[in-house]
Amino acid sequence: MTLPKSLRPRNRYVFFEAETLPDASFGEHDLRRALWFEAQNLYGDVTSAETRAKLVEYDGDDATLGAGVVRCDHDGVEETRAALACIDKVQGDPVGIRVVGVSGTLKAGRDRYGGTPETRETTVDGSPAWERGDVVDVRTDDGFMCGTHHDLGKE
Amino acid sequence: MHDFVHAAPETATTPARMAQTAAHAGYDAVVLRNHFNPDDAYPSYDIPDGTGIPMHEGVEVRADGVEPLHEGVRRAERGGAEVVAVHGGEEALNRAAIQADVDLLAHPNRGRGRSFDHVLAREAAEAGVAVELSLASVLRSSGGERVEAIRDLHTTLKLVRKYGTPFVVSADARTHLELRAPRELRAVAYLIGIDEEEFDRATDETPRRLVENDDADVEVLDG
Repeated sequence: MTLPKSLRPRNRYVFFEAETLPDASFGEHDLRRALWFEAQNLYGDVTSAETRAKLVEYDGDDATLGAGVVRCDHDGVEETRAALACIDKVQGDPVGIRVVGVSGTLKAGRDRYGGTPETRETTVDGSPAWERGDVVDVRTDDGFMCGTHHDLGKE
Repeated sequence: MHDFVHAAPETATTPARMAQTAAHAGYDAVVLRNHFNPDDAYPSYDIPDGTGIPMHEGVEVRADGVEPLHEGVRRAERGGAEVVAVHGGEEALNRAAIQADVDLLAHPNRGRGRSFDHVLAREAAEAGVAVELSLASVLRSSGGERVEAIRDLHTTLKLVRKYGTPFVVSADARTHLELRAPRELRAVAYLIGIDEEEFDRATDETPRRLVENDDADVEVLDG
């Protein structure tokens, strides 16, 4: 059964990037659950049902900056932003999610917002480090020191 | 759009990385406000050239009594802090911060009970001391803790509206991963009842005034 076009839900695709530390290990499935639970906790079943936010894809493998897409109702973009902003950890890994753009179709969004810079493994003063463009995360005894090429050496 | 952040050496994100992340997310400027305990050395920031956006060097004085607080504020002012904030939460410290005429009283309602009430809201408005509505617990906690934090924010919001107390809204980020983009922060703020116009004032006009006021003070001292 297909609804007439005027009554079908209208979608928006929220493109985001998710920055993590180099040792983050969560995947698409974990992030989908995290978004689901965050929306439930933040504004509950009624608004979640209206907003219809659902992670449709996420790729964060081997990188300190992953990228993904959330599909939601065209009236639910702000609620979706809020839920994404309130995800601060996934499976215990700290994460910073930032929306890069909103699009009416997946294809248009991919053309406009697709692609994230590559993360490369390197060393800084003998310690393992991960660099991405101008930024670099260096392993320390108790985690990572996160800086840029300006302040963590390696001009 | 401004945010008020903590960075290295207090945390594991350098000021330059904070600036890079903030600029990428769409911020105009960042105010550094590392904690400063009056017993310790005055904090300094390692800020390289070319951070993209202005980094304002402030401090957040964290003291456990009224006398140490005044001492900390004096040292921060002598040290040239662009923004002098006070780590609020206890009624006596909130009051002392307002009487010391600091720039910003951070998260005044974090303590138990009514640590920030109608009397302090009016005094802050008269002294021109801005109050921070920190979204830290909304962004980074859940369950009962978050409910309580949102209730505290509602109370503070009601008071600052009634007395016209200037306020800022922040994510209170301690690392680049805790920083949120302006539009996401706006969406969260809206959800808890801060309207668009208030949000603009709280993240742009008011922080700008805090930073600029200080420049004016320095000029007077120099002259």
